Amino acid sequence: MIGAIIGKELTEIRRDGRALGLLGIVGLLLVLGLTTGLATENAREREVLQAQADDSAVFLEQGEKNPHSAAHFSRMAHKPVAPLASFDPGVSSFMGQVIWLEAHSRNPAMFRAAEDAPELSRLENFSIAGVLTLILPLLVVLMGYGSIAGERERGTLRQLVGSGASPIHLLLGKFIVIAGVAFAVLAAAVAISTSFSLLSLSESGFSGGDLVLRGLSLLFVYGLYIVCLTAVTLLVSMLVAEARTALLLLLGIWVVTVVGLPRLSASIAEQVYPSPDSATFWEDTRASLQANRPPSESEDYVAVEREVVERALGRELRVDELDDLEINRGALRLEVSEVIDQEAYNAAYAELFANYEKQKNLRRMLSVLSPTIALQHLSRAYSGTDIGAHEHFSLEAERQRNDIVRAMNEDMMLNGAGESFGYLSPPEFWETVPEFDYRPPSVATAWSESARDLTILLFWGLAAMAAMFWFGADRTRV
Amino acid sequence: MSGLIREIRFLASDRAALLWLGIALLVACVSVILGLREIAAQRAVLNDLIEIDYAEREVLDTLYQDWGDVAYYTFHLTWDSPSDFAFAALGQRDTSPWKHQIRALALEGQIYETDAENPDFALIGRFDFAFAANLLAPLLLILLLHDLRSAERTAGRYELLSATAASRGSPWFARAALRTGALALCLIGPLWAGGLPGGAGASTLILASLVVILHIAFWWSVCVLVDRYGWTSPVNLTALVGAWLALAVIVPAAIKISVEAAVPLPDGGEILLTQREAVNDAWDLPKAATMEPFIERHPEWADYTEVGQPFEWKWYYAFQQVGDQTVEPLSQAYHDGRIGRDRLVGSLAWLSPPALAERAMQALADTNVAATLAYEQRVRAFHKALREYYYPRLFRGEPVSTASLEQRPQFQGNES
Repeated sequence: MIGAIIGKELTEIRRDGRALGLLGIVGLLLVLGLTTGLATENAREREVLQAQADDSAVFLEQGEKNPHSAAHFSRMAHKPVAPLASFDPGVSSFMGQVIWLEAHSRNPAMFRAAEDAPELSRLENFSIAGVLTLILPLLVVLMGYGSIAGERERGTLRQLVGSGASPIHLLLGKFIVIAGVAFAVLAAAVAISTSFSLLSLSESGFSGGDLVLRGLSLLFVYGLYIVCLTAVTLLVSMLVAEARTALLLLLGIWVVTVVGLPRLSASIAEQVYPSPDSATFWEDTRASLQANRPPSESEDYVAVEREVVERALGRELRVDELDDLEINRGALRLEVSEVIDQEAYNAAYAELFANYEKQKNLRRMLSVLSPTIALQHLSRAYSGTDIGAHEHFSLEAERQRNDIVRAMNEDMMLNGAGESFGYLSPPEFWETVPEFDYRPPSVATAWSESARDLTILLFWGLAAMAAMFWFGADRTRV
Repeated sequence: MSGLIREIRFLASDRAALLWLGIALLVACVSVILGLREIAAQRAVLNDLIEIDYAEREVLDTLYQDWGDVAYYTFHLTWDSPSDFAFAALGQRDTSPWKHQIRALALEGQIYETDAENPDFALIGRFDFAFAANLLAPLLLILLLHDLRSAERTAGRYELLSATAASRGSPWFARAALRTGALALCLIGPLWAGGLPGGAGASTLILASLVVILHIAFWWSVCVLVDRYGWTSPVNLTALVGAWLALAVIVPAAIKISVEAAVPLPDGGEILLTQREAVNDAWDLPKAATMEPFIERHPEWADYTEVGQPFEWKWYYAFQQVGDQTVEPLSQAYHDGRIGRDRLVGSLAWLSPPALAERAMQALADTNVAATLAYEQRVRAFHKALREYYYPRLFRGEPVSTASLEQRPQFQGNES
């Protein structure tokens, strides 16, 4: 029986020019989104690789130089293009792309592509994810609004039930067809996007297995979204008397939950947990750096000095050895200040990212009203373009900053005794300063960090399905 | 008059229409309240920062006896105050910085600093009045108008109603005009209610209202156009939502992609790398290699270029300036490219009425790209003034004095 119902529904969709028309438009938009996404991300990736190569060449060819002077010049950490940025660019354009790994200072990322981009309304931030989030619901609504209400209006619902079709089979058949068509569109979009990303993997250094898992995760969460949309559409179609009323109501729900609420939730979250402005952030950070620095004669300071020297020598110092060592004391002070300041910098940035998390949590709560919000979080997390991914990059860049500044300070400390700041590192020294080999977090991290969003979306899917079948048993009995 | 009363009664009995109008009113109120709160928060932040800025400088002015130290350690807050109408269209204020702390060091390393706001929200955009009026309101109008005639046609009353009407088309026109007007009132009412007490000028509010009315009138005409085909309500609705998608999402996206391709910009990172390289190299180059290009720009200090010590502040600030000079062509190309992109977008925005209305609102609110670039120019001018203040003191080796510190340039905000 279900087979017959599925066949009938497919025929009706084929005959409905609007659904086919919209399907064509969605397909076109996905191709456009994919093409532009790939072009943008490939260009960005080329820029990143070129900039990394330039930066490396300039650093390695700086010749004989004072290592502290070189530590100020230092290196740049370029954020690699995320694994599935062509599918969902997420916040990539709205976060800095480059971090200057300078001595003394944990710099924020600079150069946001969004500042250079022409802007019209922010809705035009075009991507496959954007098309799927905004327009896929319309496709589902168009295919499904008349499913029950239309049959009831035409009197065919009575015929179907009269011919022995059980209400549950009837609903299931309609559900399978609508969700199936939408899922086919989704699967094609994810598969093509993932395949193209796989092809460009050789340069980016991401793992192919991780990328495939990310693609499957996206397929799963967008699939859940389709389940929600289809169930809600059929539910509304069951509950109202006329198909046109169902369409009107469903489009109203789309306007509120897909177009309006995601933005509203962001504005509310920003007002409840305001982001610190950069000037205040730096004022506070400078104050906490000052407060965190012990006097140079204090026990704490001397303990850090010992730790720094022991680490540089690779052995423990004897009790009175520190004062007698022939080392460059200026370089020791520089490295001690780096070690002490790390704690204050880490605390300041941790607080900043914790505030972002609070804002995200509030949006999560509001996603009880709109599954689109939870989907946005999941989509960016699995594409590797959310704030969590940026935080990981920022932490790794800071670790790299500590490593390279330490290498330069230690060279001056151990080899520049008696030369103060006149010591020059030999040209071959720069080869020994470690390169930034950034490994982005795997999809498992995205899974664990977005578990609550997944729970919310699962809840939405299950609740919508339960409501559809619960009411369906009665309302399809005519 | 009786016709109008009849239509008002008819509207009052249409629960769906009341629902959409109620949503429009709610959306407009919420957007205005959120916008006003956001601007109030930005003003509060600025007031605090300006106070701290002055207080810190007062303390620092007592600490250092050398102009080099004074210039090195003294930060100067620069800012772009929101206009009184910025609450309605927050525009670029969440993607581009509206405050910077500037020192007399190389400017190019300071001016592109990223703010600490949540990038997620910048991506999504703010729920401001411009969003409500330009993107949500057309959808609500579509829901209000799509079935005025088609519903009557389906019910079989269309011919009768048309035949008995005083003039052909008048009941439909009056009905549509009433709904369109009601929607406009639902939007403009909260705008004025929030804008006037918030300090927005009546002329700005009138212009903004005109933008809203014209934009809504455009969508009314689209509804009329679609209705002419005599389709059923669902087909009308689908076609109109399709038109919204095309004009509000697809055309702007196409414009953005085309403009980015047509007007390339130098890579921002390249500016920073080049400037950083120039500044860093200066430490190891002969002093003359810095002073020569500096003197080309500042011949008035040609008699003071001798640098006898391994480190002298005047040489330090000279190579900071030379660092900026090195990237001038790149920086200028970046600036010109952004202007070029904005101009081209301005011309192409005529293809998308929602985008055009958004740009008009941002222009009224001084939150557009032009305002951002104007602020950047004010920062550059202030930084130039700072250098011109410090150079005579650094090059002539004058002692630090309170009287001299009082002459130091103060950043002038753009408070309305």
